[in-house]
Amino acid sequence: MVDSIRLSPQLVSLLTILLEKPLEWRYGYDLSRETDLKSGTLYPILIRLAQRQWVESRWHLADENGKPRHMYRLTTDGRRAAAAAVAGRSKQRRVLRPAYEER
Amino acid sequence: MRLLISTHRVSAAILRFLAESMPPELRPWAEAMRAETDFIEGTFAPLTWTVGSVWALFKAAASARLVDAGRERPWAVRFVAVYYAAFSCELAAAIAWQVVAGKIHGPWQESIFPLLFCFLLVLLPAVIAIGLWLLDDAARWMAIFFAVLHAVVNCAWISNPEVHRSIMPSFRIAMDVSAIFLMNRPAVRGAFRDYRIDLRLTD
Repeated sequence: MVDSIRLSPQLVSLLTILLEKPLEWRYGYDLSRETDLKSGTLYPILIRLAQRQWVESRWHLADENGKPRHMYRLTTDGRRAAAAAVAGRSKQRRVLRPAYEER
Repeated sequence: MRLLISTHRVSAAILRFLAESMPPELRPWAEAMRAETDFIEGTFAPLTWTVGSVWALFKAAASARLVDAGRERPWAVRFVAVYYAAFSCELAAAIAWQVVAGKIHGPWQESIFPLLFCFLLVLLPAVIAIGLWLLDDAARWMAIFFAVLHAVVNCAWISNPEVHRSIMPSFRIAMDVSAIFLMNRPAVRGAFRDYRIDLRLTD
């Protein structure tokens, strides 16, 4: 359950963004803009990642008005798993692309 | 400016309402989605965000229920769920046959809405069956209510001396009484009470 996760292009895109600055906390809306994913796609992925404990989250007072926002970042296990998943995906692409281009 | 404020408010209100209606495990997610609406720029972007968030929450709730539905359910629940599903299919087939066999007279403009209404009505037992299969306690109560209503209608049917006698109404009354009895068994009530969604949100 923990290790089996379907590597959709959207998931890989999110993991790639999270891996760019792995220790930095990110807001949901910022992740949505950076990955170009709509909230309807982004949050189911974040929920799945949180279920598998790849992602941790916390509340943070975002501005002087004291409005709280939810932030996300990869856990230690998540960083390891995400790096492996993204690397595996890139390798898969390198293998598949020449075969595709021969057509 | 006024429109900008109102779309943010509408979005926040929808997601706040949803957060209160969601199972406890999903509430923090709904709150997280709502909190972002304060920071979304643009007039219609908050609404787009909200539509996506509503979809995400329903998807999460549905998938959690389906995962949960994979667990063992008492034979009585399976029996009643299958009976209701079969009953729904039987009624739908009866209506479809009426249409196909040309038993519906009169212009289609007049008959289309009663037909659609009848089709929606016969879906009710099927919806109850799905709810029972997912161990939703509301479906258990609906099943009891439906069985009582159906048994009363069939009793009225049988007591009318002018209608054609058949075994089916008696059989249906027996099934309804069985469904009421089975849905109130302690083991069945316990299975529904144990229902919970396992979704974690680290905080």
